[in-house]
Amino acid sequence: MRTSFSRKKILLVAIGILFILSLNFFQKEAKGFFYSISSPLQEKLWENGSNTSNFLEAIFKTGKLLKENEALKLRVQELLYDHNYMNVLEDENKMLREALNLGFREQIKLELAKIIGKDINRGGILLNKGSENGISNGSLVVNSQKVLVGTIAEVYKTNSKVLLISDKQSSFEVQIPSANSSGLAKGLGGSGALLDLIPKDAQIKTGDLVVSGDFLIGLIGEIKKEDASPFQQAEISPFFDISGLNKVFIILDF
Amino acid sequence: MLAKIFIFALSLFFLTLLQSSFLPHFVIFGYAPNFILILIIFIFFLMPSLDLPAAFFGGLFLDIFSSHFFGFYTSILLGTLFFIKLIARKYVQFSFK
Repeated sequence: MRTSFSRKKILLVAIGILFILSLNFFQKEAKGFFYSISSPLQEKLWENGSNTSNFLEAIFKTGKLLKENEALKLRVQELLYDHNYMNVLEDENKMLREALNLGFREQIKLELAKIIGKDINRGGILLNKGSENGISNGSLVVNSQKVLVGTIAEVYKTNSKVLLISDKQSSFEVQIPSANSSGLAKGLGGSGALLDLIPKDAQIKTGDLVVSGDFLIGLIGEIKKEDASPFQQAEISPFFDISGLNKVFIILDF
Repeated sequence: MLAKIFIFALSLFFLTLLQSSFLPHFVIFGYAPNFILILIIFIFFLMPSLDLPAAFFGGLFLDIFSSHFFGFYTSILLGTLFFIKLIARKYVQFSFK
């Protein structure tokens, strides 16, 4: 087998690397071009991947799904009770607002986008909407259940990239309503996140809801307390699951 | 040869799309294997005449679908290829009888 590198090959490689490095000067245009031509095929691949994965999961996890179904039925009953209580509060709130002559918050302007791919190396996703749809950097991305998925990090003409809340570069303020406390959520990579800087006296417990403004984030997992530290930490199990997600909403305007 | 490289580059582009849009649904412990890298190692052994173009185009397409700068994956794949070639030349002897 011939394994020696000829001068011609080395020269070709050097020219190739220089060509690729020169693409960095117009990275946005180059990436945007490839995203726009591959978008329709990626859309199909993402959908097929999602369907195949769901099908296989249904086959392999039947037992687990049955248990999960039972737990969810109980949770639905609890939530129905809460919902009923919320309806009473909502009526009361409406009456108070009318009495105080306060207007309701304006509707949020949303843009529906399809997920067409995942970042090769990071926990980011690629969407089929870009600057021509009015998307800008920093816009929040949520799913239909008002669960925060991430923020727009890169915008191209027809596509945009989302920095997921679980990404290592992601950090934002969150609240724990049940403990009337707040903290800082940091992505851990993969699909998890860490809740940091929670005051030590905050009475948080596993299963507590974590929100960021009007949007849901996840539930508190394992709690870590250290005597020397003035703060406590906790793991967050985010509500969103990229593998089961096909469409998201980009918040254009509050 | 050029037509061969073109078809090969097109196949690598399609494989990168699969890596980016189909395989994320089948992750193991949060990670999906990098099939482009695996393919390049196979190509080195099975089609050595195409290993350089494979590493070049594979790296370019991975750079496009990642958040890194252009040249990141290309350098990694070309570096890996040269390393394998070096090891193969110095320490591995192939005999075909």
